[in-house]
Amino acid sequence: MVEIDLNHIYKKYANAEEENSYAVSDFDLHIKNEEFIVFVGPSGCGKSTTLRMIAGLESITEGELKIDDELMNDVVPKDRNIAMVFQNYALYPHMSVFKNMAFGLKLRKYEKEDIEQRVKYAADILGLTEYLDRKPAALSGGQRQRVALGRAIVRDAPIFLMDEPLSNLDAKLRVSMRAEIARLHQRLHTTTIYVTHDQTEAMTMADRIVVMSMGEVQQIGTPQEVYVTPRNKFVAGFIGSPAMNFIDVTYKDGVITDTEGLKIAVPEGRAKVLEKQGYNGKKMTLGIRPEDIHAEEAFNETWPNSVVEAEVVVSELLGATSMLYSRVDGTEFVAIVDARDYHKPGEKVKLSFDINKAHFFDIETTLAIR
Amino acid sequence: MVIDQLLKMYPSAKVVTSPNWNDQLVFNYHIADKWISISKDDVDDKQNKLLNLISDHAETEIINSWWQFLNHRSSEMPLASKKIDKIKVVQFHVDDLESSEYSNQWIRAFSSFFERVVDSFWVNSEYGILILNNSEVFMEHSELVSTVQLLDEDFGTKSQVYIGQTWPLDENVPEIFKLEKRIFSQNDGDPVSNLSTDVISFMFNQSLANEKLFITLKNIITSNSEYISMIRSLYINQNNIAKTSKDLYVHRNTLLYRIDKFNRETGLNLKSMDDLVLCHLLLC
Ligand SMILES: Nc1ncnc2c1ncn2[C@@H]1O[C@H](COP(=O)(O)OP(=O)(O)O)[C@@H](O)[C@H]1O
Ligand SMILES: [Mg+2]
Repeated sequence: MVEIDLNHIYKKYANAEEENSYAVSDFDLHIKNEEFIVFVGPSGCGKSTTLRMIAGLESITEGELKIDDELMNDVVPKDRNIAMVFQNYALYPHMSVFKNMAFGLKLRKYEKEDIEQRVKYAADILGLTEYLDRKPAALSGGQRQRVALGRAIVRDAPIFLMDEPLSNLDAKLRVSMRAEIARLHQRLHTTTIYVTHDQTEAMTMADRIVVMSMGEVQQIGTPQEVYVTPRNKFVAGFIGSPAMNFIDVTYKDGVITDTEGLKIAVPEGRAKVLEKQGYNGKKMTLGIRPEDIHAEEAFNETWPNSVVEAEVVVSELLGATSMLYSRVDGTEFVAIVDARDYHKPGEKVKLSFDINKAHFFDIETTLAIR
Repeated sequence: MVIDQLLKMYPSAKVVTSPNWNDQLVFNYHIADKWISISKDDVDDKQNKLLNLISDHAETEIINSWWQFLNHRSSEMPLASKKIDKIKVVQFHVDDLESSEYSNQWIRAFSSFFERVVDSFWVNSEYGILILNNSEVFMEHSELVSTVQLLDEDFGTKSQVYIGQTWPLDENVPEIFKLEKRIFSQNDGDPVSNLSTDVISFMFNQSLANEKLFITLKNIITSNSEYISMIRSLYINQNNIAKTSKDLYVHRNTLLYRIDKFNRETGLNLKSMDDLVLCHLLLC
């Protein structure tokens, strides 16, 4: 059983010059036992800093870190009972795989039998059993990565922290290791915090995602929640691939228009919310995912008022689907449509916007209008 | 005088002829030409730092021949050096090592990452040296960082390492080492540093950093934390836009937009190498 509480955590690096330049501000999160949490966000948004504060590798400027209700702010890393895996890791060049995994335990004076049992267990889970006698130089990149994971597993710590552990692997290996880490979690049930800049990794692995930008938490939720109901424009644009389209529009009496000639009807339910929130006649940002723009005849007939006449600028056939980079006068957007609705660049195409699935964001605050 | 006062202030203080570095219960200081040892119980962290300031280095007594040579205490080059024409001195500072038993293991584990270790020794309980025979291929910075990380994980330590340059082994080495030692002592916490990573800030902090002009300029360019990572990354990638945008995981156009915005806000153009170097210097 282990629970982690981050209560309004702030980090300011000693060499941060500005009075208010925090690398992380007001980070507030309760992590449940056995949860797999992913911190995701662009480079420099404070993911590693937060993780390193949890590990005790960086001091906490303000706020409280609690593990099982015990204040951890001033506890040294080795007394926190946390195992970490990094993007870059080293292994002892002259030690066998077995010894690389066992060394930390030996220094901590574990019994010989205990060490043996733990290493063998980890090796078994990771498929390293037949490599236990090899030196790191005789292993492939993926195997070395597994040894680094093994070093964390043998500690049998209740908490795993992983900082972009797969970023240095090639794309194919990354996908298979991703599945392996997910499987590992199902088997060991270790409470895990995983850091990545890759939203696909976050979406496929997380129980809950923490989306960060510029040192601040933007939203915390399940993959489905952050995808379906993004709290603001940043989350909407960061989660999902290809990214959501954003178009600045004005809403007036059931219709949205933009300055470039786009004109789309808003279904009654959505229109009501916009009006209730005081947006009638106001500017806002329309957000619509590429998969919510349709080219099927049937859809266009059902929603004639949300159809636009677009011109295809670039198109890519991706197998079952195709991507249409399209334009209505000066407004550009991407649509993912059925491969049968593929169009060549320059062709005209009727596309309908599924406004029921669209998002509206306040221009100033960038918050979703609900 | 000073010694008398210290003896009064610290009842456990003793003047000793030569310090016993293996005694984990005391701190040793070399003050006013005398060795004085004080029980650790009587000295808190701050006091220890202050005492070390007035101590002309507690390390002076270890008898390792390389250490003697490096510190001008012996003009003779160590015996082993007959066949060596170039050396590299690696300094390390290790906090939180539990006992001398672990010290031995730590230094052995650290040495195992280098191919041609001529000698390795602790100068005191936290600071030590590896002497490397000029090795042609050297680990990359990120590998060194992971190595330090690995050791810290296994030993529960917090370590910093300074990788000296490769120098011809001659009578100039001690003079050179003196500065390497000073540069390392001013590093504020990077796990791995060397002359290139530290020289600019070292020189800058020696003279200019406290000038109003630089303080003000620094405040301007660091007003937005995005700028800091952008400047660092542009500098590391030698102003290559493609590499930098990949590094920062932003679209090329986003990066160009930010460079533009920075230019409008600060009057500094990061596409110009002169301006970029200036900004980088301010961030040191
Ligand atoms: N050791 C450090 N000293 C000063 N600033 C740092 C340090 N490490 C990171 N930063 C700054 O803190 C911010 C967050 O960095 P980081 O946590 O590494 O982001 P991420 O892991 O999301 O890429 C960045 O602006 C970065 O430049
Ligand atoms: Mg990071």
